[in-house]
Amino acid sequence: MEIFDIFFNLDVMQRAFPILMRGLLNTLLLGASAIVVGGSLGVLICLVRLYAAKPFRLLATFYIDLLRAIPVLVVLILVYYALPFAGIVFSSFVAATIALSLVLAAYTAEVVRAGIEAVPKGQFEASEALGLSFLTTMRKVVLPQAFRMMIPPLASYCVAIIKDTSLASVVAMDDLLKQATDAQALFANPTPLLLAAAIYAAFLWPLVRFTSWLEQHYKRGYR
Amino acid sequence: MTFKTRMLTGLAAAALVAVSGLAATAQETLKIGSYPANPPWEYKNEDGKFEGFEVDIINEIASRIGAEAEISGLDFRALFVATASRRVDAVISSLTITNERLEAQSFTQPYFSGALGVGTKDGAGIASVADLGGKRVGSIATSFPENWLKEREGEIGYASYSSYDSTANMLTDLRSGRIDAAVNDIVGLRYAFNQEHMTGLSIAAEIPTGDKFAIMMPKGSERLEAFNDAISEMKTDGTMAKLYEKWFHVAPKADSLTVTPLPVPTSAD
Repeated sequence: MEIFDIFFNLDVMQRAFPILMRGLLNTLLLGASAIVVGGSLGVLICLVRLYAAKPFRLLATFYIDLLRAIPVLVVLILVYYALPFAGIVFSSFVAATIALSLVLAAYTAEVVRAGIEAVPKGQFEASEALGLSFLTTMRKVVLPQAFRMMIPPLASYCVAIIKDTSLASVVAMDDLLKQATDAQALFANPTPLLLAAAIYAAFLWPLVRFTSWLEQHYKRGYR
Repeated sequence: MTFKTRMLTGLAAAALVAVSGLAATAQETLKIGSYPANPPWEYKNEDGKFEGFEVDIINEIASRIGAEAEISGLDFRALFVATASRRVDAVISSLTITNERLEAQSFTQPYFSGALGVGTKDGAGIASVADLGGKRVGSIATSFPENWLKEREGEIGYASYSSYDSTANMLTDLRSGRIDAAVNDIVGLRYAFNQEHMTGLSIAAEIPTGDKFAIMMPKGSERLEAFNDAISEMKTDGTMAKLYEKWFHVAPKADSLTVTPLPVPTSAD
């Protein structure tokens, strides 16, 4: 069968595997740092968007709208290739982390906002009546309840951003997908792409399962 | 040595290298950008090392001007912004000198005269460019062959044109029959068709185009003359011909670009 020869060529698969492994670490490291930095930044931006003084609120809204509207590729090229003209030179890894975090933060901010706004108003009023400070209210009352509802969309964005790490090849980073396209050229055969897809799935599937478990876990108190 | 002291020594060594690197970047390390999904011009072998005709050329140039070439793989879309922002000192990627590119970039003298190949399935009934009339053709986005095809759209009268991001994807479509002919740099096509997994495809026609391949550098780069002189030397002393034969398995023609020293180009003609 020609289709097996072209897409599932065992010989090519065997030879491409070590090549892909060299990109896997970069993909995982980049994905993890983008999620941590972008996630924290997103919560921060969301709080500014909801509770800061008006000019800051407008600024945060503008940031969220803009970053969701422009392609990640362009953000990446600007951070890596344009900032040096302003005297700011980042390494490939740092530039890619910044670009992906900036984008993920915008998406996270919207998810967090939706989560917070879904917490009943009575919860805020009760906290205020008890004399809790803003930070304590957020930390102990609102965010734990909001987080429960934010898990599924947040998980989707995290998975999406891990796959977007493949864009880092424009800033000279050898990620999993880049290694696969290079191997595809070396062997003149698309099998390495299928192999890369299998590796992505092997890592992302448990992640998705884990978030479902997390969701169930947080639901316990509401049954 | 305990692990910790080894770590410290390693870090100190790394710091030293970094500091000396900063002090001496100007002479010692050349940052080279390349699009590595482009065999046999430049590609990464199974060990992850860069190999290819232009990789050998750039390493030879570097050693002749007393430097070391550090090659990094970039997306094709990023090559032009990479030189413009001086993230790299030079780009190798079988790039054609064009007047449009010369406006924003500099090029060394050319060392290869290009030809396009028309790749088809065996027995597709295509034997010349004229046979492409009414056929579905494909090439690589933003490449020279793409422009070449689009300029001749009326003349050739092909049925449709598809633009691909990589040679490999284009050839997969050629095998699946979504396009009837793939038009691309003939050297790259020949390399792909000679792979053991690539059966049933062949080059139906060769089109000499006279486009000139050279190394691209940032506009007005201070190393341009040094690079160009090194290439002239390599052409005169036979190094270039040797590399050509090593990668293309034929000797270059006696009066071809590969053996004729030239000044830095100011136009594509």
